[in-house]
Amino acid sequence: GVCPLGPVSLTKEQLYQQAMEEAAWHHMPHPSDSERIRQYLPRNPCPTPPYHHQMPPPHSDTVEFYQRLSTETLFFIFYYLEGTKAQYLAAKALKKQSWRFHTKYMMWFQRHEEPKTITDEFEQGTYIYFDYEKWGQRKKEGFTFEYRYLEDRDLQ
Amino acid sequence: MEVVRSNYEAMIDRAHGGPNFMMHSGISQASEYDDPPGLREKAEYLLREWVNLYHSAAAGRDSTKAFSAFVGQVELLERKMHQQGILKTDDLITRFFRLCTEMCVEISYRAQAEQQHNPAANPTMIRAKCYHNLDAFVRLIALLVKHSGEATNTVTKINLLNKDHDVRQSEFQQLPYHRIFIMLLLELNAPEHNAGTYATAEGVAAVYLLQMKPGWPMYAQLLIDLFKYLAPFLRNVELTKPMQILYKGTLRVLLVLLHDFPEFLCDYHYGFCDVIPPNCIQLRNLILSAFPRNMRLPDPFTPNLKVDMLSEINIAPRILTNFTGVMPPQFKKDLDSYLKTRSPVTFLSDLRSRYLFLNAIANQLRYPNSHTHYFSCTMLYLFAEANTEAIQEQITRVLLERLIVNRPHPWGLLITFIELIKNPAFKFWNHEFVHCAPEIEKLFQSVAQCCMGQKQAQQVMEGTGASTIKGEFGSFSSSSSSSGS
Repeated sequence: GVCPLGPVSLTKEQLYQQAMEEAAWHHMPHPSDSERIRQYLPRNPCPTPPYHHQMPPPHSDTVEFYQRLSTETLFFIFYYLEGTKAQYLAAKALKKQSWRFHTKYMMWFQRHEEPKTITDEFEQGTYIYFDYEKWGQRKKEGFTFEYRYLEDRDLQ
Repeated sequence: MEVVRSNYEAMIDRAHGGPNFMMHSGISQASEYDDPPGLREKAEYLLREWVNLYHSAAAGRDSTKAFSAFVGQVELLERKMHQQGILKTDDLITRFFRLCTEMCVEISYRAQAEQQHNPAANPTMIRAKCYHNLDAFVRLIALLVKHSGEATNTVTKINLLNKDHDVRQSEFQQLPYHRIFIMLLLELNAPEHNAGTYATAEGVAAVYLLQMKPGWPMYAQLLIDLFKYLAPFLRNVELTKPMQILYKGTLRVLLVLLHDFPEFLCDYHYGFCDVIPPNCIQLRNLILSAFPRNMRLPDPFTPNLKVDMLSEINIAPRILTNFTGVMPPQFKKDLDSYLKTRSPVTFLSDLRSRYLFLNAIANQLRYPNSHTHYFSCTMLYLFAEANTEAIQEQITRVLLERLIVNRPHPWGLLITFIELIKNPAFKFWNHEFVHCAPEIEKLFQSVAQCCMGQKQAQQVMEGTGASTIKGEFGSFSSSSSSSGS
């Protein structure tokens, strides 16, 4: 049978352990218990039908995949998934698409045209930027992008 | 067998004196505390202050600004702690941490109670409330660890966990402790800290321990503890739902280890197999299937595979358990004598110990190495030279029951079984137990066809192809008889 050495009845201690296990089972650890707090998109597990995707597509954690996403999606990831690998990949994809992050305004800028002025300290011209409060792209003419606010860490 | 076991346990306990001893002693002792008057109020004030500072600094999107503010706040808090006299002695620091932990735990319990009394409350918000305090506290510990090495006393915290469990029993909530350990682990794991603080993290998400080799013995001990805990329940095969979930989780951890750290499972397989009950075939197969990543295993179903021609077959595997020390001298003498002379047969007469004995041999049938080869030959030799059919039936049973479960199957196990049914020298198909039940017979046939092909299998099973096939497998069978004598 499945019990080649014969059954052995559980000791008092083992029965106690089993009871404690049973009690703990009613409040098993939640996936978010061992993660950093997700301010905007907390985990919210719920039963999903089997014919829906239960898992994201393979290789969706590569920069190549992120480069196929729309810029709005990338901005969403950047602002709403703070401090995650997704945020890092989104930033990388945005940089590859010539978006530059402004550390004072905390917004992404893209040159709309060649800057009218370029010095060692700044450049000036017309830029497209993404306004996270109005949630949309805006154009700014005659904007001075000071290089000291340019986030220029080399994302590996 | 019982003597061997108790000797072994004593040895294991001695061998793991260092950090593992700390780990266990911390759990076993708990004492009452008598804090100086007013300390609780001071700690409460400081903790609340800190939680607010932590979250106000972390708010705002400007991380660089937050960081400098943060450093200032740590200094501010330290100054306050000095003012309150908390940092005066190690004892006070320890008490401070204990009180803070208690308060965080209290907050978690209150949040959970709120959830129960008001089911309409948003569970996500309830959790966020717990995390809010716990994360702040963890950061405080991490920062103070950085400032003074002595500040955290693991033993105290573990004691607290144990005490809480004893008092609350089935009402015990693991959330606050769980989060404190994991988050502290993440905090301390950041590259700028030193690796020695791993010990604080305890076993919770300790796969981290495996990333550095000095962590291996401790992680092995944690796994042994898990197996030991599961053993009595698994052995009886009466699994409650929670146990099933725990078992599934254990399988998952083992799968991860098999995939990412096969060398770890290789090195400690002996100690693990020792605590896993014999009926847990799959659990053990996962451990025995591990092999060093640089090794290529020949397909056991390759026709004409000459096992003794493999270069790896002369290399001994590494065993990190001192298993010879386990055996009492007299037992070892009897065993040696039996292995040499195959007598007295009473050594094997007890059915139960023979089952354990054969399992102990089968536990060595792993990737190509000298032990696998030796024990494969031993098993086959014991089959060939058995004086009763009962022994042969039991050998078949031990091999078969490890093969009828789902994958993975250890390489050496497959090799041994295939040799047994393929090599006519063993007259496997002439035995009654092979034909005892139609489903068993079918099973044997499908294995035979799988490894030999339809026609050859037919010949072997009918005993007609013996003379033609014999030469092909001669090399293996001759080596099996020479190593057995």
